[in-house]
Amino acid sequence: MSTTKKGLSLLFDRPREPIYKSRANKTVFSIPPEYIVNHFQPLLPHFGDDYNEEFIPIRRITIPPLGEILELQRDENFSLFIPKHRRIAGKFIDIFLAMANLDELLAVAVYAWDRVNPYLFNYALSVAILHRPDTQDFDLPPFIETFPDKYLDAKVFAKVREEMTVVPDGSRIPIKMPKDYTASDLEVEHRLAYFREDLGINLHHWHWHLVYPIEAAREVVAKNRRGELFYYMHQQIIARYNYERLCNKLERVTRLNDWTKEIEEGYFPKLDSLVAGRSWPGRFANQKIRDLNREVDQIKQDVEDLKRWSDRIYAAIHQGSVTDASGGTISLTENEGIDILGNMVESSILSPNRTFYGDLHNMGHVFISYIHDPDHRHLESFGVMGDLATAMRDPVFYRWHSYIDDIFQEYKATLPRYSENQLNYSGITVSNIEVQSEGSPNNTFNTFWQQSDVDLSRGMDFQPRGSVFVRFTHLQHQPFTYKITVNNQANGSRQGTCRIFLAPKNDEKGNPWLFRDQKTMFIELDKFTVNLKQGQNTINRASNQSSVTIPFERTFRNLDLNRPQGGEALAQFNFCGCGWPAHMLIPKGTPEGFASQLFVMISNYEDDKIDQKTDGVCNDAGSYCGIKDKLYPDRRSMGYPFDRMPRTGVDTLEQFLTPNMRVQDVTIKFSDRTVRPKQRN
Amino acid sequence: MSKHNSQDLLLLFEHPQEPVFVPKGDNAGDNGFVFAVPDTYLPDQYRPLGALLTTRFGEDSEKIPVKKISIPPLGEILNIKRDENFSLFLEKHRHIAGKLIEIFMKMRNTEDLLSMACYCRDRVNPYLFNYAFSVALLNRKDTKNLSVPSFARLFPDKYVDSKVFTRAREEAKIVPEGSRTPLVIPKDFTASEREEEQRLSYFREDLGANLHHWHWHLVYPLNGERAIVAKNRRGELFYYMHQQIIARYNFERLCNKLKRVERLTNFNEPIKEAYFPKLDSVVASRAYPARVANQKMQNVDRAVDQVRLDVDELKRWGDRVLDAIQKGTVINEKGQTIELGENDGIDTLGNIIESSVLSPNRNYYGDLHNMGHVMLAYIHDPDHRYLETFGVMGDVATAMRDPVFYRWHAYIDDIFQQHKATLPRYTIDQLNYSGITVRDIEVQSQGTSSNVFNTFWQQSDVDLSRGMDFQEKGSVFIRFTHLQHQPFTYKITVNNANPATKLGTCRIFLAPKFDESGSTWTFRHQRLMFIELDKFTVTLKQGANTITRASTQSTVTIPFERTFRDLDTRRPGANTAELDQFNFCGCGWPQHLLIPKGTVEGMAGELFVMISNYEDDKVDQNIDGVCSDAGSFCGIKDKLYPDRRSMGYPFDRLPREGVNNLQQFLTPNMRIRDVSITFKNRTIKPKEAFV
Repeated sequence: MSTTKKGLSLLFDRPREPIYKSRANKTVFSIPPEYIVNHFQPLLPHFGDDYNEEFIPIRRITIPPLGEILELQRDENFSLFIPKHRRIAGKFIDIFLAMANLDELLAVAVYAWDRVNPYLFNYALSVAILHRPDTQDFDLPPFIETFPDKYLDAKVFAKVREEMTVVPDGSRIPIKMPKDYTASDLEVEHRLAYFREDLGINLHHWHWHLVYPIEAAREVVAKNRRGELFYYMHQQIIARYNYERLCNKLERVTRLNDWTKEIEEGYFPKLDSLVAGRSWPGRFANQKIRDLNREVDQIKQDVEDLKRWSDRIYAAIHQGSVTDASGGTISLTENEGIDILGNMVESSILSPNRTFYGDLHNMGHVFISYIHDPDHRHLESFGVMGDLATAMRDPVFYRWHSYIDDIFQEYKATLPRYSENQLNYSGITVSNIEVQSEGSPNNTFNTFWQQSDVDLSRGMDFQPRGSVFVRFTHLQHQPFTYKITVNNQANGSRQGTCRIFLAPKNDEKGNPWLFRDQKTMFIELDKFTVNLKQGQNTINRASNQSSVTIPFERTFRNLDLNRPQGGEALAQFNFCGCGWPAHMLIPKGTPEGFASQLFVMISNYEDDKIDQKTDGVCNDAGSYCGIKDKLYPDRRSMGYPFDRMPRTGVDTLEQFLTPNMRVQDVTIKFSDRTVRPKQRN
Repeated sequence: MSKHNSQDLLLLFEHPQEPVFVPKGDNAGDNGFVFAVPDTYLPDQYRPLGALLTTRFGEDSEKIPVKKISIPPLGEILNIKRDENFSLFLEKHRHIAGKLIEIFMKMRNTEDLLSMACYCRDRVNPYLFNYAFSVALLNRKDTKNLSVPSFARLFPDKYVDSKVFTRAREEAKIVPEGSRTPLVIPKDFTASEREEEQRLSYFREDLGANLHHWHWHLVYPLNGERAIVAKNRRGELFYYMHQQIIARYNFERLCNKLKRVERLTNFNEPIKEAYFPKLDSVVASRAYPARVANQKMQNVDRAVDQVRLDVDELKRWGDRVLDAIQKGTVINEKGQTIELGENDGIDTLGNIIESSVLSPNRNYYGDLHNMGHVMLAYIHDPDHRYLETFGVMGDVATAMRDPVFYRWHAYIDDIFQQHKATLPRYTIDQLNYSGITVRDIEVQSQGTSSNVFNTFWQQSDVDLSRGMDFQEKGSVFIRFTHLQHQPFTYKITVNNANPATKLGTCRIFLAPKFDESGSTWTFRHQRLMFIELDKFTVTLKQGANTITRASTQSTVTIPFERTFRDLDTRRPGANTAELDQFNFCGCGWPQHLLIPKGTVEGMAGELFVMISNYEDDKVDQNIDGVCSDAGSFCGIKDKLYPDRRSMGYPFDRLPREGVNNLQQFLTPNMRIRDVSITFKNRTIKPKEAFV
């Protein structure tokens, strides 16, 4: 790695320690003195330390004015949902993107380090690195390592500090974080805490929004089908959440569509913000969202505005067209309509008319996150719903997104139904499906608790160096293999896309589903291209090959270990930070075995394929994240074949099937045992 | 090896979360001291590292030998986990604290006490350890000369904005000792002007007021050995000290154009005032939970705290207490009737309502005041479903920050006032001092006209490094802003027409001249608004006498330096009588809050001075050499309360027939003077740092 890139990597370490102090691995920046902020100027003789071995030179360049970027105080919290923060972040990203070369990028970043809010700095630099051509082989460390406070029980930090001060490096033992610390079993919603508070899920959500920012230079935002992917990725989160709810004997989540009603579910996150020196506020039970008037955030918005935006969006859906900013009409077409709608509802800068359709999804997050202090009278910061890195922890996230998803479903219901022709693949028959996990009967998924360790030392500002591990507990399943038998009666070999989904067999009452309800319960497990020779074919596919997930080691990848050496391999590695965590691929199930239906379809590759070269590009979590700098790897509507209402006469899944599809009853068995960490990564 | 010195005990207060084998007392600059504890004293987690730790820590420090003794079982004391928060309002916690106090009290000598304390320190919850150890040091004969350090220095997290701690960690790591500048805490960090209750935050969140409240409850614990609890007139003092807090709070409210605080009488009503404390508990690693607007008290059922109480039960207790007041008698546990006497009824009632172990019937009259705190502290999580700890109302060190504290205590005070209303009125004879006339009163502050109090903001620095654990050593100053007034002098002219020299007690009170609507008061309302400023004995020769008294001599207050006293500095030498006094005097209203804020245009007040007959006031005891300078709110250490009259006299009862206003109430030995409190909105820089 070049010295400059090494320098960049050091900017993801100890986000609050001053820039002129020693960084990791005995390095220190050689900085033009005028870069140092005023209040550290008197301390300049203390530059670095005696033991520094490597000096990273920082070039003296003309620094572009930071202007309003400095308006976010260093000890404030930072939210991508707040328009002011988004705008500032967009400007900062643009500054990073405009730097002519890596040396200049490093110089401006070093200059900004002690001036800009640390969360904002991290976000903008991350987005820039993901999108600059010259940093494609740069490995972005997982967010949790830089800001562990957004992911871990606040109690961990005092223990870490004690461990780092008292126990020498080498003798330290991992600090255990309890699985249940935000609520007790008295709170029914707490049954879902393992999902909502999963580190991997929250990291995925953060990384997804890094790859798909709402605001920045247009070429960064306008990625292929990003609006549609916003819809689909969140639809799948809700489907997965509802699946887990059913496993936990809870009904599907209730949409938050009546904003004059109290929100029953409370949430007490028990997280501290180490940057803000504040804890994340709790959300009491039975609060209502209220009109916002917070000058500090430049937000003045009524609950009624949300309603108006939502009404206009519904009107657009029912009219089949939207009105753009110049008054023109854009129709919501069968295939691209969802993409426009996604950008409108989220909303991103791609929204055709932000003034008219507003900022529904984002502002919903803001309203909820300020439920405790809507007019800033108590000088409070936002709750977890205000931060992409933490929002998924709160039960209300799912109520809100279930409402958002329902808007998209309302639109999908207006589209023409898939005809048998659009579903079938003539000559192709799926004749058998089998799931094999080691040591258990066929067609059973096995789940259990797993402990894993993650190193926090990068995020522990002002502490001695050296590793310190936190041990947390998460859901896990035994690796398994699909064995799918497909008969090809066509003349010659065929290509197909194998699509694998899973849904609960019965609804919360134990009744079989209507297709129109079950279709939104299907969670995608995998999607891949298959070659089918004439006659009988057996497809073997391992669970860890899933196009939905990334491996555990990549979710929590450590910079210094397990890392490919430079070049193309590293670029892939990087983007692949986005992806559903592999350990959450299969829902929890139940001890007695949760009855489910595994759905497999082989669709006609001619209608699926995208003509592009994806060799050597990390494409292994394309389903939820797309493929870096490429088109979305499936031409069909996302969620196909479950994204639309069924053709006339189809009331059940059985009736929906064409010969190229098949359903297999499976069961998900949970054993309440905790497996010790396999290895440190 | 140095010889054991009882001063070593104080080192155990420092850095409450750092293990006992980490050097203490190294803030002074040298290598400090390290406790040489027997290996078996190390908590389990550190025992395997034994040898490693001794070489890692304190090689150059002076060793303090710790004798190995046979350790009594700690048992349920360990039921409060090390990372929990600790509350004296919870019966379970009080009970456990009582046990630990007992263990410390029973140690035969200070050497054993030191050993026991070293053993407990890393096993017992740090807040609990601090509380029990403090109470023991305050009450053991052989440790009475030790000065317990100010609580704010050991647990600054209970007193200052949580933002300070990340900044302090940065400062300690980056800036060399010597170059460090104080970390400024903003005056308004818990709310904005939009919240009208915020106008009182300078009072509610004052460090000194909260430290006083903590220290008062240290001196007057409500559990533990009877000998420690049963102090002279403690129930009455509970009533009076809190009554005065409410009177002072109401005075401040009027200064801020707010009406007097509303009693929290309807337990089913939403509480409109919210409070967001923005404090972290560094021991519990949890923030103190906020109380959002419009929450209602709910039935509490928390197995973890062993609390199960219905809101209805709280009402029943309130009803029974009021029944007792109306009947003039209480029923004790044996079913016997105890009269609420004219003079000591209030003391019984104080113990019933608070309640302390001195309550004659806790089963029947319950635990009203404490459980009110508990219900309010758990309003966000009454059944522990969210695994939340209590809000600021659950901790005597933080409770006064929350606006609801005053609503609750206004309700509690009203119960006491109902009792007072049943008492015989003071007759003219009981008020007058024949032959004594107060002729004139004048208040003099430097550089202003007479009878004007001047208030302003003052910044002060305090070193909190002893409470900052696991970080680089060295001082860490915080700079906070508090109310202050210019020192002043009373000049009182008294005529003694008696044919002999007389002794009298000079009682000085202050009240707003008008109520919130700008009307003059009726006496029955104004009497509750009088705040005590001073009370002292005067010798009156025949004829005209001029009494000159400085504001700093007040018997209500302690000086600023004592509120923030430290382990090492500003302390008289060991084993002197002065030290003993110094210690108890940690209790006392902070001097800087003696005078309410006033207003920019000048708040009209009435200064009341009375000379009462010393023969009816005096308590025969020798208080020479005993710290007696904040006796009004705190009593005198190991002595009787220094005034025989009912506390609050002459304003503690309804007036005699025919008296409707203050003017009519006056007898010749009383006088009032119109005064004005003028507030200047300027901030004075710190005079000096309290290192």
